[in-house]
Amino acid sequence: MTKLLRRLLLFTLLVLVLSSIFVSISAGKYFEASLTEQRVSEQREVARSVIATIEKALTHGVPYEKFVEAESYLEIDNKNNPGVDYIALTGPDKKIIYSSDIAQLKGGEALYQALSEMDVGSEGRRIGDYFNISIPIDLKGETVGWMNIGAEANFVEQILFNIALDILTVLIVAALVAFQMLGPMLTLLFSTPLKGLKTVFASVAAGDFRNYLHPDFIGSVGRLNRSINNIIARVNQQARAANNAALELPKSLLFDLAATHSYIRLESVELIRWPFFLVIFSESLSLSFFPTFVGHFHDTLFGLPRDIMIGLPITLFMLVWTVSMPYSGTWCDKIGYRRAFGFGAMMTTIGLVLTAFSAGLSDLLIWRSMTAVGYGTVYVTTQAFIINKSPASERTRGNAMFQTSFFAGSLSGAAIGGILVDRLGYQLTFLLSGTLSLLSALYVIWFLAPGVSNTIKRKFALIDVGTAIRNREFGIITILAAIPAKIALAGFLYYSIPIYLKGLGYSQSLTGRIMMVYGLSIILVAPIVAKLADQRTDRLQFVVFGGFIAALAMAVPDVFQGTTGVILSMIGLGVGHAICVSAQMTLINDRCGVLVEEVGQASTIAIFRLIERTGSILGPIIFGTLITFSSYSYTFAIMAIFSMLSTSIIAFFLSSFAKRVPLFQKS
Amino acid sequence: MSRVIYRLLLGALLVAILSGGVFAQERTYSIMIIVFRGMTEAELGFTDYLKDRLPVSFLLRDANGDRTLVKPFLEEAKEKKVDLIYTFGTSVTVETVGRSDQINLQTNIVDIPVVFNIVADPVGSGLANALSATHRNLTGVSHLVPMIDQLTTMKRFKNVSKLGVIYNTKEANSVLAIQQLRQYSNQFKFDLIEGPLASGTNPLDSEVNEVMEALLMSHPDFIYLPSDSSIIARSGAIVSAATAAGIPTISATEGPIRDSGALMGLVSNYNTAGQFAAYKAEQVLTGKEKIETIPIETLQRFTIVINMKTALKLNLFPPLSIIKIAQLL
Repeated sequence: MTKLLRRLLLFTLLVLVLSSIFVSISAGKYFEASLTEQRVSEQREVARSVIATIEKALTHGVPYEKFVEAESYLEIDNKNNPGVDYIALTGPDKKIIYSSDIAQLKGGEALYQALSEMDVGSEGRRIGDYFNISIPIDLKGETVGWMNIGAEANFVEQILFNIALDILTVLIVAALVAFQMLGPMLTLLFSTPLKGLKTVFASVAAGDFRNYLHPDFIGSVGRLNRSINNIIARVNQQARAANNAALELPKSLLFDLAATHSYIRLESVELIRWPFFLVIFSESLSLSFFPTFVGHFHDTLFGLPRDIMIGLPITLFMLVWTVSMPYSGTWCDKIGYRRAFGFGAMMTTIGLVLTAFSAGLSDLLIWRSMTAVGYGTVYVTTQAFIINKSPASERTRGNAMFQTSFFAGSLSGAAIGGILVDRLGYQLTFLLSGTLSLLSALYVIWFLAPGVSNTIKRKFALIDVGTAIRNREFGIITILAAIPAKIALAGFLYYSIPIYLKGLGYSQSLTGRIMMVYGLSIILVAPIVAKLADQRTDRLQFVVFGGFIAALAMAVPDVFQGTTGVILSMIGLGVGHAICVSAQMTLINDRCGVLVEEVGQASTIAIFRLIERTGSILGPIIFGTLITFSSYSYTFAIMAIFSMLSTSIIAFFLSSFAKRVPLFQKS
Repeated sequence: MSRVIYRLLLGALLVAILSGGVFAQERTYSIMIIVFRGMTEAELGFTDYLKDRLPVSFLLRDANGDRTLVKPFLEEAKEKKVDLIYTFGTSVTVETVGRSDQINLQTNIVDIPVVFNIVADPVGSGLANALSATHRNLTGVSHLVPMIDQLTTMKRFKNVSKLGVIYNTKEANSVLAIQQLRQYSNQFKFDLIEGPLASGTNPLDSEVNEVMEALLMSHPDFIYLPSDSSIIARSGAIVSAATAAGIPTISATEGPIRDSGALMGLVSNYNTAGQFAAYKAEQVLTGKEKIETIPIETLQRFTIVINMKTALKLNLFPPLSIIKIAQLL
């Protein structure tokens, strides 16, 4: 079954990637043609003005070979036109008579040589690293010479490279979306219904006719359920008739005599992956343009400066999200995943729709808070669902799936949102976001089983936070592993890297792409690492190992300057976090069983996330302060050392506790 | 009651329309144009501009280079009660209105507005105390191009270590030019070789030839022709002598380049200057501005004019960057 799934997945992916590559290549060709044309027309424009002067001189009797200060004239003309690197005038014998300073160009001597020797023609062509066009210089219908005008060809290549990167971005996003959709789709259509069939057939084979299949009619396997249910129903009906007629039923067989119609409803972790991805995706659509959107509101609150005002809805969103999580965690434990998720997604939908229609900053703040509550509920519910539904042996994998879905959703949402808003405008984009999260709510209500989770249900109280922290292992993991990871994420990745790259002179889009490397590393590495982690019993090694990698990654820009350093650092941080962050959650479950029993599964997660989030708040402050008072290289080095130390402390304490844990359990 | 008011208003409107019609009836402005040596592009620009905008009639009077002939024109102007007088050049203008410190109320014009054109230095020649406003029944346009710009343009053609100049010691514009050239000789690192014509406002050809001969003997790199009508009138002889000796000429005015083959000059376009003077005349005639407060102005844009036939003769060509912007003849 897994084999079939994997093959199907691979095949579909292959089709998708191939078609995307085809589309990209054709689009690239179109761009190349149109860009070259645009470039050539720019060159022709410059050429036209130079030629006008030359022909003016010629028609007034200045001999072609007696032009005065022609070199400096050509030099000035090409300096004023960044699209042109050189201009050379040749005689009828093709020898260069006048030219701008070609020798100082890259490969200038070879270019000069080539220009003197080439066959002139009026169409554009490549000469070495340059794109050249030749234009005849005419006097009274006779060609007295040629003008060669050119620019470095890699200008076009540079633009094409950028477009290729954009296409690659969309391609990656398409692949991510496909991945997020394919798995759950296949699970929904094939593997879960087949597992259901297997279960029912097994019970029938054992002589138990009391279980029915879930009557969902999606997919060919799902539609089969009805026929099978009908057969089972008929058998049960006859059994009931026989029972009513006081006939004796076979002792080895069990029938649904009371007509309770109990359904076999199998749930897979995969089921929640898609709606979760969808909610994250829909909320992340506004990620790239949200500050600009807020900037459009002209009213200010409490006379706040504009920069702070723009940041306010974002800060408030984070705050409400963080604070509401523990409460929604308890609530989720109480009312069950389906209702909690459904409520969260609906709340997100309403928040997003109202955001689309917000008229001022004050109501925007209210709608954003609503969205944050919904978003937080979905976040906690999903995490609890995954942990609850994953067998202990697959828990890290479940967490990794949660992590990858989260990053895939926010990554592709941010990328697509930027493109959408240019075409649809703010309002329609927000409405689309709302529609997507509504779809997610409907999906969950339809496909998730009702019912409540099986951990202890207790109302969340702030005292639980104290209880959790007093648990030594919980405290150590959250404070020394989770908080530093968040400090690195918020302080290093989201705060320092953009301003560091801006200082190096990189554009915003390039910065965005470089930062995407982090998310991609997580998405690619986390599932593999998670599988490995699940095969081992102690996830501590992963937390420690990943922690060290992430710490080292922060020092990489000090060693390798420029883009290379930052990209390596992004990969390092991504891989490090992929290894340690999923494992942190599992480690809490492994080591803090007592706590989970006491405060509840979802609440434990919520408290963990709550404390962890202080790292997000501290990160920018710590990095900002250090950068202000020292330099980037010092800051990165200090923070790398700090992370190394905290990871070392975890390694030391937790490995010594590990030996004692069984003793506690015995007593 | 309201009907009465309505009728009154209607009546008032009717009266206004009719009276407006009466005043708007063809009222032709008569303008006397006094030139020193025949019509130039400047007068064409002046008359064309006004003809397009106002009903005007022109009386053209030419002094033929003799400033004593101006006086009878002024008497005629007073007699015919012209609406405005246009004067060309410093000499005619000074004859017409007098220097501001020695106005002759009998002979000079004081009660007819005067608009002058092509006056190199209105303050230096005593026509006004300041350019901002004359506080007289007078305004006008100066065609003066700053000397520093003229010399800079000249140097683009060739390096000049000796600059010759032929000028009339009796002409205000010539004297002004000489003063400025002396002043700039250090900055531009040239020796100034002066060729003065001292016999009067109408020097004889023989005097011109003599002075030119002496000037050419010292082999200057360029010869400067000031904005002086006595020089301009003799520019044919001056330029052909210089060109024959292989020496390029730079002229402060357009005429010698266009008509006599001087090599080049950075000049005010006479036609444009004429239009600018006409604009000021229009303000005066229509009563939009008081003439006492209309400032004297120069043009803001100058033209490099090059006589390419002379350039070919001299085998001296301007740089391409100059060719791009210059007017080539």
